[in-house]
Amino acid sequence: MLVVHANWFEGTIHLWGESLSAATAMAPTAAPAHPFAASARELRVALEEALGSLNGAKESSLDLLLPHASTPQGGEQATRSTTLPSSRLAGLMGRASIDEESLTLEPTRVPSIQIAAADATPLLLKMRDLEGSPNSHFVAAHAMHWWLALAEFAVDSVVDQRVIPTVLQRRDGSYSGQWRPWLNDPDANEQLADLLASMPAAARAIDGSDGQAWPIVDSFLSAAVDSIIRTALVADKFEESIEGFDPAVDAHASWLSGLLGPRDSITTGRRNTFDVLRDTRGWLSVLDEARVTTGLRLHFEVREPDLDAAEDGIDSTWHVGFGLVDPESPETVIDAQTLFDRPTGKRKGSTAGRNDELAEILLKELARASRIWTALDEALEDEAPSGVDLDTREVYQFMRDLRPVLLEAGFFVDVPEWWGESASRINANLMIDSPDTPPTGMDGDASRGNGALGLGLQSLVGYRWQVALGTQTVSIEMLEKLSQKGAPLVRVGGRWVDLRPEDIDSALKFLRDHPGGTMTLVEALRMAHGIDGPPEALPVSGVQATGWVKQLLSSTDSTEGFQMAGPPPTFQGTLRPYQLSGLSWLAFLDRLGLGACLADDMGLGKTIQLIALLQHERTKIGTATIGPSLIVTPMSVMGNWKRELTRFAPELTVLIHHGLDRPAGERFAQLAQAHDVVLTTYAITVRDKETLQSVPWRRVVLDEAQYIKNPPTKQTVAIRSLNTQSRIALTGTPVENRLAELWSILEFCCPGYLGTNQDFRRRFAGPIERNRDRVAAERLRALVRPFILRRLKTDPKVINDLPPLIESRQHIALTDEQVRLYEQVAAEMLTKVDHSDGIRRRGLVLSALVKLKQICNHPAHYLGELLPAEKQSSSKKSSAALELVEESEGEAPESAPRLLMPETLSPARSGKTQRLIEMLEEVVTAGDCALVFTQYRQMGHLLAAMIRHALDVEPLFLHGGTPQPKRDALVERFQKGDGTTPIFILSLKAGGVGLNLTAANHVFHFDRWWNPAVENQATDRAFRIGQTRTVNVHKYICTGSLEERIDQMIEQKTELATHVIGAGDGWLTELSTNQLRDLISLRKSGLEGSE
Amino acid sequence: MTQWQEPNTPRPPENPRRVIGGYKFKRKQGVENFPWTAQPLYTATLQAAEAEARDEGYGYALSGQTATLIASDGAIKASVQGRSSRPYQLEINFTTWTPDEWDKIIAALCAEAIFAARFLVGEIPPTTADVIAALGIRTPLIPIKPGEKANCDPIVKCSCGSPQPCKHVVCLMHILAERLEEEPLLLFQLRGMPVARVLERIHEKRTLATRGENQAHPVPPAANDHALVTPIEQLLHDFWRPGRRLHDLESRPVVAHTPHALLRRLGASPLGGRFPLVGLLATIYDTARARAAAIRDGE
Repeated sequence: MLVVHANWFEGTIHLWGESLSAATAMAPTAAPAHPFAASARELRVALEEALGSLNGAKESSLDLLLPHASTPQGGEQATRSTTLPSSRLAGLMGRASIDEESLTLEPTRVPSIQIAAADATPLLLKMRDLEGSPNSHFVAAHAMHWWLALAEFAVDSVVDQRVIPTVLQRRDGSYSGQWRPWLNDPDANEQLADLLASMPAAARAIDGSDGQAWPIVDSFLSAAVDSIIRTALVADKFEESIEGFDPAVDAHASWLSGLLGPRDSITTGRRNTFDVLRDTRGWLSVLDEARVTTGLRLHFEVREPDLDAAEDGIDSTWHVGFGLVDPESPETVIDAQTLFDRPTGKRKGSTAGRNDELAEILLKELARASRIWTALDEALEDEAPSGVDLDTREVYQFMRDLRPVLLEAGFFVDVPEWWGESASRINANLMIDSPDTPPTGMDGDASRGNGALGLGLQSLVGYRWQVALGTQTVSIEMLEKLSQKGAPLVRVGGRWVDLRPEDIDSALKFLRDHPGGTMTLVEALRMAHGIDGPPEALPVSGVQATGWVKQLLSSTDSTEGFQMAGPPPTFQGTLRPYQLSGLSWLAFLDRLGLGACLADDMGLGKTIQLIALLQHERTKIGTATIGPSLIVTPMSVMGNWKRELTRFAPELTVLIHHGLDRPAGERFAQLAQAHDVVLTTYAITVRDKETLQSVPWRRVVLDEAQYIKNPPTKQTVAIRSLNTQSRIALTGTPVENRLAELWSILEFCCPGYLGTNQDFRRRFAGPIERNRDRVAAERLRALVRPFILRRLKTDPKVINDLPPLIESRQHIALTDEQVRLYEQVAAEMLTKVDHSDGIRRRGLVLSALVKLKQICNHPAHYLGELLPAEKQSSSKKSSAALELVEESEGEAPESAPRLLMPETLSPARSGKTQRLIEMLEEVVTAGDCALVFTQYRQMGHLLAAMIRHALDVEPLFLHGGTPQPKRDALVERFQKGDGTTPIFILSLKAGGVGLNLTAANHVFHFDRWWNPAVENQATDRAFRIGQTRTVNVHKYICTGSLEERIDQMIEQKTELATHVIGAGDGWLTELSTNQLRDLISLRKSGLEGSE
Repeated sequence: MTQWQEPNTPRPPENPRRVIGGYKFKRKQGVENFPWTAQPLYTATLQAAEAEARDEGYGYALSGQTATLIASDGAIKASVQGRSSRPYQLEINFTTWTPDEWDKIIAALCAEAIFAARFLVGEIPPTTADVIAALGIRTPLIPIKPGEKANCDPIVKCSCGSPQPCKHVVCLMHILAERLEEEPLLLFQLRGMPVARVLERIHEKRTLATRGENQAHPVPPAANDHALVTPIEQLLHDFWRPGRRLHDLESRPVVAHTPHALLRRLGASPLGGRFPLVGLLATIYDTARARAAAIRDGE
């Protein structure tokens, strides 16, 4: 695996890489060669595998200035300087960040692949498409994100035609031509400022340069733009157009000689006396006038003619008035009329002097504008030009074609407010007629018994199209009449309408082609949102519906359209009002036979809404006729589902399909039919594909539905092929903003609704992600709105229903490795304690307890994989000591950062870490912040490394060894809440008291301390004055382990528990062997094992 | 003041008509004591004027008879209210430097950082005039030969028709001297280039000087904003990641595309050539747009 970096140096891009395997085997080498850089060859192989052949790429090298840590070496003053891995590599390695003082910049040479300017931009854009692709052998360095933005900026400049031809004079006095972006307009300049300000140090750290941003950005942008344009011009043989013009005589031909062909040098003749540099400068400076001459700007105001409501206005006269505005306060306009109204004779105008001055400025601005709008020359012949009269056709031309150019040149143009609104154009409107209740399916093979579900997306609905002008519906005849007038602007019903001839044509054609009729719901909805329907030129203003389709379209906005469900009588608990409306929504879509995606924020109770739905349908229809629901979850939450089902819906029968001895084939089918719910994991859906396909499911539910990824995996295919009446996806991530995920999930819930993946990318993902196309984004949002319900904790409807603190337990199954270790340690301890007593017995019990808790956390924690070899022994010793300390606080201060092996970093070895990473990912994507408490410093280090590795964020970590000033800095950084450090890991003892961490709205207790008061104190770091949001507390408990046993005792306030609370772990040593056995023996629930 | 009257002409009033809000000469004493940027022109004008014009002009300046004063590139236009009903129109046209002369001057001013530094705070170091003179440029920085004739610098005109310099010109020169004292960089505009442009040209030239190159396009303002970029030395702990403003860039709304907007702003090419340049450029822009769109969409 390689981490690929980019640098721009002397007009070419250099790609270089860090090699993960080289870094793991890192050996000190002589500076300045980078010790773990990938060789150019290795780099080329990895890149070509993913990007195709790199023609013209050269193997080369590059001298950079990279951060090094200097560590004292030996007794002398000598220090050794170590090249540090990049942030991306460090994350992959799980390496901790480095402490302050010791960093220096050192010259470092890296092997590189050098790519010519012309190929650099397409290559960078290709790498963008690879991001996140699991198959490539490299990952992009963090800075690559910035390079992509720069490359996109260059390409967009050419697409938007914000480029200029310019002339450079070289050192030797010769001239060359160059295409480059025009960056001096305010918008482009702001974007440039963003790029300069965000340019990573790594992208500027060329050895021997001054580390400035602009020279590199300037050089890259001009090279990228120039090469794109030149390639296009050469391909189309533009050079031929100046054949026959002698550059020695004709200045234009001379200038173009350096711009059209592959060569950039400008040919001038001896007799050619023009100064190409000076004249081009003069020409280009016109663009910059508005910025250089400060002060007032010309203002145009388009005034509508005064007309009666009935007039069509085609032959009326409009007026464009001139005025002056101060760009700082553009709302005050000085009208030209008042400037030229000179005080005659007696009026001694105090303003006369000023007015003359202003009039002068007005004239100058008019002259400037007349270069763009030649009609102004005529106005300037007037002594006191205050405006021009235009007919309707001319004013249309002015507003449509000239206004944008004038605005760009720094002028102000006011147009009537209806201009540019889509409501002022011809638009199409889809009417869908449907009855109040949907037709139900004939119910073929899809189910046993009868759920009487609707046909879903395949239901037939009646439809017709309407064409509207403004808000008024118009007939074909009316359109034809208007089109004969041939006027671009016309008044209809007292309102001006922008009547483009192409709009009329497409509207007429469209109405004739679409007389109305019936079609399926999916066709209707796609058409109503402008897909598969009217030509692009005709805007679709929306959809109106009657009956159940109307209810569907508004279902996620309000609960009025459909019947509210009451809480199911069998539900053992209370549903909050928003949960009831969630249940009603699920039931409503279910009845229609439509899939649904419930995407509520984490902590709002998606699980219990789904459980309530299972009970709801049974109350409505009767248990006997309803087939089983299959719930697919990640391994880490299966235990939780089981517990919640038992707690809230004890009457539902649950089959857990997991483990080595799980039934298959016919036996499974029979068992499944006999249960209400079958729980299984994503992994098993692939392995038991045939078995699961053999059951006609009432419903398939995907929890953590973001698991089904795009591009489709075997797993996704297996899940989509299940035979089911209804499909529901549950996810806590903001699906609407992650388009690949959105497509995958909706393809599961509503197959075919968003079209093929390719079609979706072309129509939505591409325009929205690359071009930030707002129209496409809005259209997509409207399209998916009926099928996605996402409530945030901050929604006003939800927030009042929520208590300030929500506590939940996460019951998590042990993995196979954990089970093996746990049983081994437990058995060993029980045998030994039987044969010992006194201090020795106590020591044995305590050390075994620590070990068991470590195993519950992560096998690597117990196995000591976290420590350098020499430390392991001391750590083992301390855990065996009589005094059970919260963590090894007495440990020596932090040494150099540890290097963790990839398997150590795998969250999959522990149910807890796996679940933590899943939940933290939701926290991070939702923009929330979390505290993670653990008792063990070693575990904290491991968690920090895992989080860095899996989520690519830098977690903060505060423990007993953190010096006070650094603690303050950590707290301040976290409280700043700028989104850069959303996760704060704290050791329970060091971070559990005193701190104010209200930026967090999630608190994780990763391992348990037996004293609830201590845990509550820790929770209170976030749940205290200053907290404005609901705080979610998640307590992690390993199912079947001593963690669960002790948790139960505390919950049930048993007699034993009163000993527990406040007594540390000492009481445990007093238990009899039988009591101990009862406490620590692993109780299997059938959920153990890895995926 | 006129010495005789036509019998039927009403005698003009003794005092000029009052101007409200006119430019007033502020200093009541120390008239001779202008800085070097303003003194020569002022002195030369006053020496050439008749005593009466000098005194009355001074009086006009004090009472604020200058109604308007507009400085543009190479010229000053003003109106001074006398005794007649309409103010007199005055024009002062300065000899401007040719583009070639400007190129030389900018190059020379770049050679020493002191010039750019002082210009930025609105001052002109006295050595500026010497540097320009040393280039062999015939028009000096400071105008010293006011008059009506074509070889004067500046050429002074007033609509009153009296012999020059008239009291209106004397009045205006007082105001101008005071203006040049406050705003010495105005001298550059009077020689043909706005101050902002001079500063930019100097900056560009200084940036390019290290490369020994020259360019026709201006440097964008953001490139000169050095506060934007954090020095690498201060980023040792945050060396690899892009800064937060990348997020701002990504969330900025896209500006709607207007076909050929830049070309239309540029207008006809001032380069002397017969080749139909602008038409060709339009085709080039469309060809380039198509190509870039294909690259953007990964085709």
